[in-house]
Amino acid sequence: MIGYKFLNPDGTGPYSGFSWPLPLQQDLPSAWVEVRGRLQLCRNGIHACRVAQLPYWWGPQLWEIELTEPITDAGRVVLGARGRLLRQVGAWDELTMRRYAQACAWRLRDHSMARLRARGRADAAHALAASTGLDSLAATATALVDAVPDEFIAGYLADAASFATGSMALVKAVPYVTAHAAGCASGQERCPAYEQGYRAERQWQAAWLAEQLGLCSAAR
Amino acid sequence: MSQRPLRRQCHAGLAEGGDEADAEVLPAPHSEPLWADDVLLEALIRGDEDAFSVLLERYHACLLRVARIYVSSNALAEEAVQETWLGFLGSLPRFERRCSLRTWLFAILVRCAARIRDHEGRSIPFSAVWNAETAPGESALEPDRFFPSGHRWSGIWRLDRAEVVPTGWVDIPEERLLSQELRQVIGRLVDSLPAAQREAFILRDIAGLTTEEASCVLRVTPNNQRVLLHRARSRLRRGLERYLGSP
Amino acid sequence: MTSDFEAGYFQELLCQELVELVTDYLDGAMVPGDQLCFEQHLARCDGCAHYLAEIRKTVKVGATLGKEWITPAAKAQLLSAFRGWQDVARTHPQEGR
Repeated sequence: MIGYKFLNPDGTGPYSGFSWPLPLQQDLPSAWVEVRGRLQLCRNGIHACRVAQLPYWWGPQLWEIELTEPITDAGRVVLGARGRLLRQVGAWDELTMRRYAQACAWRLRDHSMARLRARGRADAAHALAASTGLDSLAATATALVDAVPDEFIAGYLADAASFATGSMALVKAVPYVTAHAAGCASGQERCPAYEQGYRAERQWQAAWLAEQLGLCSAAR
Repeated sequence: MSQRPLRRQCHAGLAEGGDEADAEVLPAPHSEPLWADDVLLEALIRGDEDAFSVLLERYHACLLRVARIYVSSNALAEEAVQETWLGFLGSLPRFERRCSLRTWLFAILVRCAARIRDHEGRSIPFSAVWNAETAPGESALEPDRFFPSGHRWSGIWRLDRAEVVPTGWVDIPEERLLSQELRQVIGRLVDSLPAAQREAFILRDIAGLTTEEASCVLRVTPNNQRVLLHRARSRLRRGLERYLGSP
Repeated sequence: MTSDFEAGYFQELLCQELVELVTDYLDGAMVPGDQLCFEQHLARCDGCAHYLAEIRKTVKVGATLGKEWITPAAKAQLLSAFRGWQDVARTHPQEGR
């Protein structure tokens, strides 16, 4: 299968520190990497993501990786015994990371407006609709935190909008912020309803990434 | 020292290969030094003086540091360590290899140091009676570095206060980290740790003993050993942070 | 290996919890599901990634304390003791075996 993997700029795995052999030339795959022994989550194996699993992770570089069967699904990663890097997804750069965060923030704005309207706060929804940029959205949402204190979603929206225009450290937190907010809007944490809202948001994020980065549809 | 000495067990067995089925195996992340302890042991028994010299250089500093936890002066610590080496040499023919060489060595050290300490009439609580469940709790960090309970980000770093969020010390060059200046700072910090934490840190992070070896020498469970190590590292990090943070 | 942490409720880690787990993580002592959770948190939280880096650097600095050399006098004394022990072993091969 074709999967995806985040790597450090020096080609090492972010958690294993394993130094991946990189392709010697563009459009050529790298050397194969193989593990010995039983596949074990976090202990032994080549870890990669299907497109649907990508939003749970983040790294400076994104690579397309080919894994040979057998492949084991482990929830938010897949594990293979043998793999090779195919190409770097060049579209995953700082500009795209910011656009991704911004898209998440605007989507949370839409969620928030729908929720506020449903709870009889049309004027608050209207205030959000009037925001033209993320800075004004952040300011409006911050004002709502005080104006309508029982509408928790305003707080998450204020965070998402301001983080999305902040440092990379803040930008990378936005997808989680918006997924968490969507979960909270659906239900209490650790309940099925929360999970539903959270996962739906992650699915939207995966679709955004797939489309914007031109990811292989066979990997979903 | 290997590249990532702390993640010995991570993603073990990763191998690089060609297209053939039997790919070549890369060396394990934690490589053994040129003369591993068990190789030295065999050489020692054969009377190889160089092997003994290597062993001295490898462990003498750590033996002194551990001894200094038990006894009240550097002179007494040196006495304990001399006694340890002599006792170690004398017991070599009887060494059954049921534990590692360094476990044996440090176990002898603890006995010698404890005997001198008892002779001095001192009493430090033996780490063997330390228990994570009954000991008072200790947090790695001040709670006010995180959003308080009730806040939507309760338990998360206070991003609104930049000075409390860790920086990773990325602006400190490697040369400064490994400098004499910081060695002195960390030395003072280690000396001021509570006895059991100090011993755990010296055994694991300075002498390089494994979890099993250190637990054996400390005479605590691996879990308790890990709690001690955790607390030691947390305190030392805090101490370094304070030192590095001040202009 | 099942995706039981997808079937169940996947509880995300708080930063305040993560900092107490760093030693377990570095020792490889975490259950794989928990380790995955830990690593996912690191992916999105620079604060915690930096904290982990500081702990690693603290250990690195601490390890330099092991490089203090034995004094020449102490070493000479011990080497001569070693030679003495060798002589004993040679002249009394049965002793202690």
